[in-house]
Amino acid sequence: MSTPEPQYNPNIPNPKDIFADSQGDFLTNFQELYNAFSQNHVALDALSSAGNHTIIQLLEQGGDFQTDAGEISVYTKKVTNQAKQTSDQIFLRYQGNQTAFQFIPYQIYGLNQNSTQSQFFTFLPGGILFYFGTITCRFTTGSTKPVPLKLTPAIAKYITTMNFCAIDPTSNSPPYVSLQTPMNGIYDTINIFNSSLISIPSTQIFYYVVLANI
Amino acid sequence: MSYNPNIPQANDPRPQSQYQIKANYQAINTVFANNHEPLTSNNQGMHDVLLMRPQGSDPTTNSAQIALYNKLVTGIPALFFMAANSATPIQLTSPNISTAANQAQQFSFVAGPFVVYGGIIKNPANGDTVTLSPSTTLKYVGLTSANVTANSNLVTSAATSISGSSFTINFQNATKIDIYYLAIGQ
Repeated sequence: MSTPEPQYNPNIPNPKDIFADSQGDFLTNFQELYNAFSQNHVALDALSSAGNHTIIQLLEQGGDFQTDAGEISVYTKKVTNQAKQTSDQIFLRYQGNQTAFQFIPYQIYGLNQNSTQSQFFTFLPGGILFYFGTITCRFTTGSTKPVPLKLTPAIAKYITTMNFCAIDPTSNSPPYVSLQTPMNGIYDTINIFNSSLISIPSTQIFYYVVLANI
Repeated sequence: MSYNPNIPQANDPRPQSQYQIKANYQAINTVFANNHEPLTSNNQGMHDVLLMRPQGSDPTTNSAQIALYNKLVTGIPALFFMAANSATPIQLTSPNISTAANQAQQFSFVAGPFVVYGGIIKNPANGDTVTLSPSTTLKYVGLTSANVTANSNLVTSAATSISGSSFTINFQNATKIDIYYLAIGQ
C-alpha cells in the first residue's frame, strides 16, 4: 500500500485540534504552498525578486475566458486543422468579453531556399501567415509563360494580398500575378508574368510579400 | 474572510487562532487558484490564463529582467513589453484586427503598434481613391496587378497621393484590373 502524496489542505486546523497535533499539517501546507508557488515564480524564500515570474507555462484551456473591463486575457487553446495539424496556440481576449483571437497562429519551422527563390515566413495575429523573400524570374522574350512562385509551407487557404518590388533599378516594373487553382483547398503557387514590354530582360529579381489565411 | 498576515498573535487564545489560521489557508487556496492550477492539482502553480489588470505606470526592469503588462491606451487595455533596464515600452497589441478567412479586405497588427492592411480591390478605375479602415496614417502602400495571365497589356499600377489612410490608384493606362494592396499604417 503506497503512501499518499502530501497535499495542501485548506480545511485545517479543526476546532478541537491542538497545535502540537496540527504542526505536521501546517508544515505540509507550507511546503505545498512553497512548491506550487515555485512553479513559474521566483521562490518564496529567494533573497530577491520573490514573487516575480520566471517563465509562464500555460495549460490548455477548454474555452475562452471571461475578460472584464480594463482586462486582457492571455491563454492557450487547442486549434484543429490549421496547417494540417492540431496544436495549442496562444489566444488573446480583449476587455468586455470581446471576440477572442489567435495571437500566435503558427510556428516557424522551415525555409525554402534554392537558386531562384528565397522564402521566409512569419505571422500576424488573427491567423495570417506572412511569406516574404526574393524570387528570380527568367522570362522568355515574346512568351507569356509565367514563372511560378511556390509558397512553403503549403498551408494557405486564402490569399489576402501580395506585393512585388523589382530589385534591379533598370527594370523596375512590378510583375503581373495570378493565383493558380488551389489543390485540395490550398493555394501553393502564384504565377508571375513579365509586365515590361518595352524592354524585356531575360532575368528579373523581385522582393515579394504574400499574406494568407491559414 | 480575507487573508490576515498578522495572525496569530502571541497571546491569542487557541480557538481564535485556529479559526484565523484556517481562514488564511482557505484564502490562500482561493486566491492562488486565480490564473493558476489549484494547490491541490498535479500541475499546481502553473498558469491557466494571464488575466492582466491595467497598471497605472510602466514597471521597472533591471539588466536581467523583462516585463509584460497591461496598460490603458486611450482607455483601451493593451499588452506591453519592456526590455531590460527599463527600456522604452513597446505596445504589442492593438484593437485593430479583422482577419476572417475569405474576407477580401483584412487588417491585423504588429508590435509598435502598426496596422497591416491587405486585400484586393475589384475593378477600380484609374484615379480612384481608396480609404482604408480603421483610420491610421499610412507609412507604406504597395500595389500589385492581379488576375493577369498574359503580358499583353500595360496595366502596371502604383499608389500615389498617400495621405492619412487614403491613397490613389494610378494605372499606366486606363485599363481596369483588380489590384492587390498591402499597406502599413500607424
